[in-house]
Amino acid sequence: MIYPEKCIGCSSCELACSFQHTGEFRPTKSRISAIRWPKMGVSVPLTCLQCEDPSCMKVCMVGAITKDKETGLVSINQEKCIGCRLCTAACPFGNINYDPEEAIVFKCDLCDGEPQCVEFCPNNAIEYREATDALLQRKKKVSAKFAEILEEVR
Amino acid sequence: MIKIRVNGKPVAIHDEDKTLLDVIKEIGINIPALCYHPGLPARGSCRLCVVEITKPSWNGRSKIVTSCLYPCEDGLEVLTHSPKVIKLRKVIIKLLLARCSDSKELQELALQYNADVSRFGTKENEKCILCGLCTRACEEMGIEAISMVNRGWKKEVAPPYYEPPENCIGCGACAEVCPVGAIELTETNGIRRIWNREFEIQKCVECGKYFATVAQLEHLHNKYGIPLKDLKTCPECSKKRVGTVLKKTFFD
Amino acid sequence: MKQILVCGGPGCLAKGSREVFEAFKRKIEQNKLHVELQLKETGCQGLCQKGPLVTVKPGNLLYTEVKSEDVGEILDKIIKSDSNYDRALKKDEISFYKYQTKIALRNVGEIDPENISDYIERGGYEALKKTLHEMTPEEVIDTVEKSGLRGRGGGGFPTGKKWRYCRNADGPVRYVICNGDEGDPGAFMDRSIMEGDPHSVIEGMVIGAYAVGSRQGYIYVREEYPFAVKRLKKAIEDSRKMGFLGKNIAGSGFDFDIEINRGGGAFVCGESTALMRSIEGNVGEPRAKYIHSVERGLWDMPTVLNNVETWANIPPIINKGWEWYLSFGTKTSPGTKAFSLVGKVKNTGLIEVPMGTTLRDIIFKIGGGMIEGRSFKAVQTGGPSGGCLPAEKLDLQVDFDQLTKEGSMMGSGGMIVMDDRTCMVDVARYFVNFLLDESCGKCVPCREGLKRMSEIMGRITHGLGSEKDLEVLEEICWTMKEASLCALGKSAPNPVLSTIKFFREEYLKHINEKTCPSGVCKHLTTYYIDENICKGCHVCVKVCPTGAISGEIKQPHFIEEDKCIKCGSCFDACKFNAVQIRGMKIDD
Ligand SMILES: Cc1cc2nc3c(=O)[nH]c(=O)nc-3n(C[C@H](O)[C@H](O)[C@H](O)COP(=O)(O)O)c2cc1C
Ligand code: SF4
Ligand code: FES
Repeated sequence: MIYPEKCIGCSSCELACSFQHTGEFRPTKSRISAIRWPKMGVSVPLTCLQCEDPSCMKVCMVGAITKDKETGLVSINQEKCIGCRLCTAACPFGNINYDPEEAIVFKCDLCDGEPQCVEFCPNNAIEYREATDALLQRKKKVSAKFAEILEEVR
Repeated sequence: MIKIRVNGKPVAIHDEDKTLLDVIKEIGINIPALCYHPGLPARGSCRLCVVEITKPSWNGRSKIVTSCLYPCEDGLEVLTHSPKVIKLRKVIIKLLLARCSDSKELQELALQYNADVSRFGTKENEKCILCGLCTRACEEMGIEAISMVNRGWKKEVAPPYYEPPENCIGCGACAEVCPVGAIELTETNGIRRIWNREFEIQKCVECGKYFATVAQLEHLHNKYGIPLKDLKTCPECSKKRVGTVLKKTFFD
Repeated sequence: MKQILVCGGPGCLAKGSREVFEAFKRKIEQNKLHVELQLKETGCQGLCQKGPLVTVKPGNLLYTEVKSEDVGEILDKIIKSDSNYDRALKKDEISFYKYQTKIALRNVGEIDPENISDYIERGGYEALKKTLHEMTPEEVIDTVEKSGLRGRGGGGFPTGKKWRYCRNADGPVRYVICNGDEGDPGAFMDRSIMEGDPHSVIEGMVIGAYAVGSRQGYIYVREEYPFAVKRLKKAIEDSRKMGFLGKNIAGSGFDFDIEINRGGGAFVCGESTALMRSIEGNVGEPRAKYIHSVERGLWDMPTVLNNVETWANIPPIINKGWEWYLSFGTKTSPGTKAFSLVGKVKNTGLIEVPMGTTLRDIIFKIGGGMIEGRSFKAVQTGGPSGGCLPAEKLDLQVDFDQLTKEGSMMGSGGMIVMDDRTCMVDVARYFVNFLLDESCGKCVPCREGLKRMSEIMGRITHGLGSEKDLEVLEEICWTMKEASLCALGKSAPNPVLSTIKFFREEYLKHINEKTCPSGVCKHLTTYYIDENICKGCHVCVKVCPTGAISGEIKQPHFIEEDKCIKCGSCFDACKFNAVQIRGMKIDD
């Protein structure tokens, strides 16, 4: 769950994420990004939503992308991936990226249940929790508004 | 649960669909498997993954099998590096090297297995080892733009009629899975070249970055009904767009 | 009523038996002989070498090399029942037929294959009725298992066992397949059965289908056998009409039908898994058999695949019982085996002998020995990936295990007899090249191994080989045998290994002395004229296509080596045997 209103655009999450996954502090290799509007002083952290019915999974023909029934995590099996990169284009949120150096596609893997972005966010703008009723309520509300505005933007 | 022994070490296997190679890799033993890819159906054609197997009930007899295809059977004793197996791998590497004498990957293997490269006095410089990974990748993609044509020593990988393949979407998975880098894929000025065909790469409508071939996007559109207009931004800009929406949701 | 059986087998047809048949037909019509004479065209009568063949019954008299001009005279003798006519050979007495025992070929050459009543008259479809009405599937499998019948397509796998595995395998449907791909060059046993007695295959398949519980069968026929397809189609239609195929067969409630598939046109398509891929409409490539086709075969369903000859053996086994069948053949290979006997023997043709018959009996009794003036050098059995056996092995009792033990194999039953003018290195090279083209190319040892072997064999026959090459050959052969995916690659080394084993000297001559003792390898032979023998008749000069021979009439001639292309024309033309080939001793 993200709380954009709490995000201060400090990049901590990006740095933590890239370090966790590549051993370097390189936001371009981060699985999470904070989209910033510096003039307004506003920013929004974005990462994989672990969709219910993920588009990326649907387009992957070799079954390299799977969704864990218990944790809900959508993950890429790098061994199985054949590098067609359809998933990167298919994700409507741009949450799968291609790393030309490593020749792999990558996405948020929730750090095996201990998301570093959450850990390092100084302002608790990102949370990782079991879904509770209250949270679901909030999610619903946000997504309704989201859908509304999405239509407008298109 | 199945119990086997690999090089004398007992291994318990819970997933009965696993092949011997799966298990061998899992316990950290390294054997060459050039025609194998975890995402694709095994083909058993390079024969490098051979292992020697036996069972107590076989009266001392053993069999040579390809581990990428052989199912785990209870009570199997598997030898991944018996003298016979090593000798076989050695000859197979030599045979492959006689065909593809310039291959770095094969030369490395030859070094590892101490295989005398000049044994057959032949040096062809084919690039492709005919492992069939590319054709299987393409088949799994549901595209089948390339396939194995001809038989025997004339076998090769080619698009239908050796023409630039019409149904190819230029995704490059074939080049990606090729274990010896035999498939040429180049990208210059927004054009990707593969299989003698040129693919226009979509420029992100927001930032102008090239991110996927137009054919890939059309494929996504045709097969999954994703509106084309939603496919015109690169992942970063898609993210930004989502961010914009969220910003409006929360801040406006 | 007297029967005139004109052979319509492939050999006789090629020699003009159709005209002979037409001539008989005309004569019989003209002279209104229908009442006393019945004319039939049959499948292969066996002695192809001497075709066109005509058999007359009763009496089982055989007329060989019949021409349409002879028809009048022969008819005359038939009507007069003139048994002293010297052209009529008593089939039961001549050694070609005397030493044979026909089970699979029981009807081939005896009946009109397009007439189902001919088949029924000779006991056809009795076994089917017996099976469906009196036996349980278990009993059928038991009988076949106890008969010890082993697959005649090459592998020699026990047929009963295969059926049992299939019956016990899980699956919503099961298939039975007849392998009529017969890709071995020169082999025509299966063709002769499909063309000469198609119902025996169909009957066998219905029995097998009942035993394993299958509703659908396929006959996979080699591309090059359109005639067999035609015969089988007709036979299938006829047996459907008679209620032996289709729904509720012979009133038993059992349903089964057969479809015909045309082959994929490659030798490797005869391999069981490749064949199934091919029927499914895919490229005919073998797959690993770690999961057997009896469990997961055609369309991943339990499948029994048997060879044409195997199927044809089933009805007699059911009719006469397994004890009867066990009385033929050897302990480990009961029954009989059909062979196509070709090469340098007097009587080439289609034969069937009890397993365990010696090579010597086959070649010298049935085959009539070597053709004039030639001596025996080797016999090749088992098709392109079989092995060559030398004279020392002539007393070998032919069965699955004996042949394999000596580095050859049964294969589907090709038998090629070679004489002293055959170069064994060249023979091995020939088969390597055949297999090189016919390998599917999927797996590395077979594809690359054959390529390298072909190169080395080429080197040796060009006089460029070294002794190390033999070592390398053996190394490749070993790898292919151990690590190839299918039996093609595993058996492909046989021709090379067996010739190295039995004719090593000949290899060494090619390698060390750069000569081909048999005068076959063109690069290693020189033609020259022996001055002491040459009479100066000039015939050689006339036949030489390149003008390499010169000399005055009545003076010894000589050959210019540079111009000679080693075509052998002069060698064949010289009446005095003055033309000689270096490296080859000529004593005839
Ligand atoms: C390369 C290759 C070619 C084969 N060709 C034939 C063939 O033409 N006819 C045949 O019956 N079996 C052929 N076989 C054997 C079949 O794979 C199979 O063993 C056989 O048809 C099974 O029937 P059976 O048990 O009645 O012999 C071939 C095998 C190989 C490896
Ligand atoms: S052994 Fe030869 S024919 Fe058989 S699968 Fe391998 S390449 Fe194909
Ligand atoms: S990896 Fe098993 S045969 Fe190639």
